Amino acid sequence: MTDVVVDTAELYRRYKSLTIAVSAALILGERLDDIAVAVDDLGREAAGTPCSEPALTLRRLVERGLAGESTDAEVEQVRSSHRGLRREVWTTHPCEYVPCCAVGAHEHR
Amino acid sequence: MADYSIWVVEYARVNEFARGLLLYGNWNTGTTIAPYCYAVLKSEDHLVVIDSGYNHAEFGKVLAESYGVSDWQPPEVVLGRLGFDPADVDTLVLTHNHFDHAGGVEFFPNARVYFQEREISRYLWAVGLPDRLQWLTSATDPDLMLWLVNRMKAGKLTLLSEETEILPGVRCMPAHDTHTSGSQYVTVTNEHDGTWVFAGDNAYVYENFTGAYGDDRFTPIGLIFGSVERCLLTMEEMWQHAGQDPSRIVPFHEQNIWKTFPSRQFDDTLHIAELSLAAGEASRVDSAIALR
Repeated sequence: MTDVVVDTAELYRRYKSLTIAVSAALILGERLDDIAVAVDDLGREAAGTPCSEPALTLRRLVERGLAGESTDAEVEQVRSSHRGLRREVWTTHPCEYVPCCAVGAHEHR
Repeated sequence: MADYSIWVVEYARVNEFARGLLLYGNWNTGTTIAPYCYAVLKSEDHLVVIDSGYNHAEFGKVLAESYGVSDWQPPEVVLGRLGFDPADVDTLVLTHNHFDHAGGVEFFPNARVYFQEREISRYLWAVGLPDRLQWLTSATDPDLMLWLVNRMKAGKLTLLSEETEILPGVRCMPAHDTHTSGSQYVTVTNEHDGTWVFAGDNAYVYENFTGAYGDDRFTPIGLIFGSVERCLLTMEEMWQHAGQDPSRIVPFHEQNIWKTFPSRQFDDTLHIAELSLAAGEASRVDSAIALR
């Protein structure tokens, strides 16, 4: 596996966690300040990678969330960019979502 | 109290599901058929679905294929067999945030969604942990979380933290730190035939209650993100609500449900079962429409 592939998978893992965190915070009405810093960091480190645009889209949602003004369309943009990134990651990296498997030895990991 | 007619609909299946996942400690005991189901409740005033299935596209398709899921059909088809339209569902209870139970929210656009707050808040906690601990969030789809954000913004998401009667006779019961951090099970108490318990994934099969060795000792499920002890005690709660009658507990991965209740199998191999009929409600098993 090349460094680029590893980096994209690693960036995706962080992006995934942050997307879950942003979603959970928006649902629960929790503060977004700390998450905003982490999303900013990700955006900088992801520059020039497939994770860059999704990170910026997530950042826009956080900004709007901080102002209490996020819209359905902005949530949809995050969903869309997330799906695109995940499709790309899955072309080179095993799915990380499966905590167990049905048959004991699937080829997913 | 109210009267609900109750059906269980199969929307997909795993033909080789490891028994060790269904029954704790039963490793290397082979595989069995595990249906993927949800429940439909109809009263005079409400159409309720307990769990949503998943969308066999993108994330759902990838995960389903990793589990060996086959024969998936959307709610339009499986509810259509009973004569229902997913758009008419007004209440959707999600027992927990795994793809096969909560990944189909988008199919029920007009439903108010009921979910445990803890199932959300613990993810917010877990994503702050080091990467080496992210197994805790491994089954969480950001896409579903984003769906829930929009459902919340539309005023159609209700987060629960304690036992709550969401509709007459329908109670959401917290089952925290069991199969997942914020699981819930559901009890439905009918005037005409008493209480039914919808286990979510805190029981996969009747054997969880009757014992893997037929000895009437509870055997917990084999995939637990929380505590085995809490799982077992939650099973005891469900057992008591069900009057110690396992057929009154509805596990969504139990193939014997088709033998326990009037049922019908369709050409695509999927089943529906009719558990209860409210007064004046005609059977929909016999008249079910074979849409596909």
